[in-house]
Amino acid sequence: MDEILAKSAQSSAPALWVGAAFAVSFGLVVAGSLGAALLKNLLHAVLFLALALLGVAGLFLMLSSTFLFVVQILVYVGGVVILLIFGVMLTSKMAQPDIPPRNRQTLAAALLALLLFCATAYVLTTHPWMVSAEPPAVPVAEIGVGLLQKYVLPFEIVSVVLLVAMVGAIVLARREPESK
Amino acid sequence: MVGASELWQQMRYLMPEGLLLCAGLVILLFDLVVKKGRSLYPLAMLATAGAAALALLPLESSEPLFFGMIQSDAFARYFKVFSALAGFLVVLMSMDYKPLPARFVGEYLGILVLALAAIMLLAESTNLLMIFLSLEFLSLSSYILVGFLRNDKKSKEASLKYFLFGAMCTAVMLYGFALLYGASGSLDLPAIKAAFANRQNTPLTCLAMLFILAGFGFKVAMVPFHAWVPDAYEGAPTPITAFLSVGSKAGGFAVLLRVFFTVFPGLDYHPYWLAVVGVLAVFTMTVGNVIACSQDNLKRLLGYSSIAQAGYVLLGFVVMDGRFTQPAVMIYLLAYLFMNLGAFVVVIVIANTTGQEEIDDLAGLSERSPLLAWSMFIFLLSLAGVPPLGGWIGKYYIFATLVKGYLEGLSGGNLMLWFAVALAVNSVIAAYYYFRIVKAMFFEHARERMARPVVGGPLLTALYVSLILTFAVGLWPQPFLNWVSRMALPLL
Amino acid sequence: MGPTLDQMLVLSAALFGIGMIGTIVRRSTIAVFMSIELMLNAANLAILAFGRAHGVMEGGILVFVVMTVAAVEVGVGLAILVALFYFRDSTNLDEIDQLKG
Repeated sequence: MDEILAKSAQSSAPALWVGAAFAVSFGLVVAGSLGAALLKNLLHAVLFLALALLGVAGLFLMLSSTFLFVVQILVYVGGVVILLIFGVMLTSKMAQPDIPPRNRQTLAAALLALLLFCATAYVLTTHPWMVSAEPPAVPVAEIGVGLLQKYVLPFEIVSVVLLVAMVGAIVLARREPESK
Repeated sequence: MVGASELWQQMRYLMPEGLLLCAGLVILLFDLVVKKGRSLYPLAMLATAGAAALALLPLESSEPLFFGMIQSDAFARYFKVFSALAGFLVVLMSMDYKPLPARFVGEYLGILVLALAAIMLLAESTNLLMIFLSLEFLSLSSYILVGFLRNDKKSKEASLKYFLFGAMCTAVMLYGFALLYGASGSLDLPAIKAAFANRQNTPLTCLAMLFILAGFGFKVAMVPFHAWVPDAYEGAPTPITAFLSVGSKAGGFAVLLRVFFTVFPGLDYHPYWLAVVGVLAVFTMTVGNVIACSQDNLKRLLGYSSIAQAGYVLLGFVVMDGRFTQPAVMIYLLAYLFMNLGAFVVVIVIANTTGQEEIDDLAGLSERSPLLAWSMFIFLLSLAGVPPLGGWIGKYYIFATLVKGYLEGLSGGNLMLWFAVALAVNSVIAAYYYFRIVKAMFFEHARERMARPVVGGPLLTALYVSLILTFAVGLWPQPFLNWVSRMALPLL
Repeated sequence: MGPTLDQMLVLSAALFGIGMIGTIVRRSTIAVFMSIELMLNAANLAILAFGRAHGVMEGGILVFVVMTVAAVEVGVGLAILVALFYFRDSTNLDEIDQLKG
């Protein structure tokens, strides 16, 4: 499975297909993120977010990271998006349609972000990255070994973070009976 | 490759945070069995005191541990002692804090103790992944603790604002990490330093530093990443406000020191650094001090005051010279720990008595409780930097750092003199609002039916400890200074 | 063969900028959550592109941890939001004004 995916993403696929796949992912990411960030209807925005996240997953595949492609879809598209949809549904009765979805700083924010984008893109494309031409893709096994060897301490700490978040979320969201 | 036995050997450097992690989990577990949450307080006190004692043991290693994830050197040990001590005092303060929901004491203490472990991990991380993870660990537990009050709209709002701001700053910081990773091909700080060793300052490094500063600046409450402070401070349970103002701020400064001293000395970035950080520091203290003048809520006022204090400490970073900066920052934080926690102890007692935390509630405190009034007076004098108290020593060293930087002819020396002047001017502004509190306590009369504040044992202990140490750092600074300079990061 | 490093980086910068606009401009809390997720994804994309270019696995692990923590963050954020709803009927940030802010 792994090799097939990696192969199809890499040299054996015709350049045209790779280009097309990249174009599709690119489109998904840009359109999805614009929709997620700007659409007024929150449910639509969440669905656009899912598109953007799928696009990112596609790009992960093109970077021959099959493992993260799967994780991205499982955790983000399957987990985070569902969670957000729950959030939107739970709070939908509070949504007031007559209020503009954006605050008054829209223009300033857009200019700021455009500036930030230009600066970042300029720096990123002009910096002489010291990278080798085309190193071999990193196999999944290496990530697994890395997680349990070099990164074993963070791996253990993540579990504590998950526990804290779980306990905390329960305590925060629990409704207290009025009479107490 | 390091074997399991060797990892086991390395565990002994992790004893303080290991103890706290275990204690946190045990508290969460016991909470399920124990009927009364209050019986968990001794456990939390024991854990924090034990962690402080373990951190004081001279167990340190300049070798990278756990495959370069952390480095448990003297510098990390200093912040371990610091956070365990702060944690001990915060637990004491929580014991008599009435609004805390009795049913959730176990969760509260467990998460608090784990957050202390997160500060320790943050201070010793030498890998970008580890820094990100421990920062998020600390942030997530802080968001939860801030929103802990039941049936309290303010607390939940504070938590939400803190959360949104924090998540955004973390995302920006992560982008900065991505840039560093791209430039060096590694997440380990030493490897990143090596990649930058003989390179000129590039636009990339500037951008990366700015992005990273967003994440760390959020933790230390630097302008323009300070917007969460007043709301989170006002809405949070007061012991947690105290914890945020010293614990999580110290964690931010620790990682700031480590990253900027171990990664970037290879770069010739001094002029940029001087201008950016210096101006940000001056803005930070000015904004904090000026807005504090118009505050009536004690917690908000102390919040703005803590922004200003962060500005003073940041000025120490303007002189990027390990000999001066580190001891100055570390001694300032030590003094700040005791004077600020002490002030919050008084706020808790007042809130327990009158149910709110306005300056008016302090009216006539000198008649109702001379002990509290005079202690508050001492803490405020120390915060204002009046000799011979702890805060003065801290401020003096920051000031001296700037002057030394000027005298030694470091580049941009003239700017440093201006920064020193800004520090002096700001101290005068700060004196104004501290004096407002003093005026209320000593020169105004208590309103009718204002009860005499009752100080219970735990709060009294915390008060005395803070008081004694505020005096000690100010009157006998030498042992503390020696200790602090021994704990500084090795110069590269 | 595949997309070049520069293409990936520019795309990630664009994603980051769009997320930034969203966090500043939007009033709805959930929309701000989403924009923050976009920014995190931008960082992940850049990290993975760099990791591919350098041929090392560390980037992959960082991305993995970031994904985990981001999911946790959303969980806690929604818990706070739900807690807030017991008190009030709006998710608009401008109306969350109990604190002076």
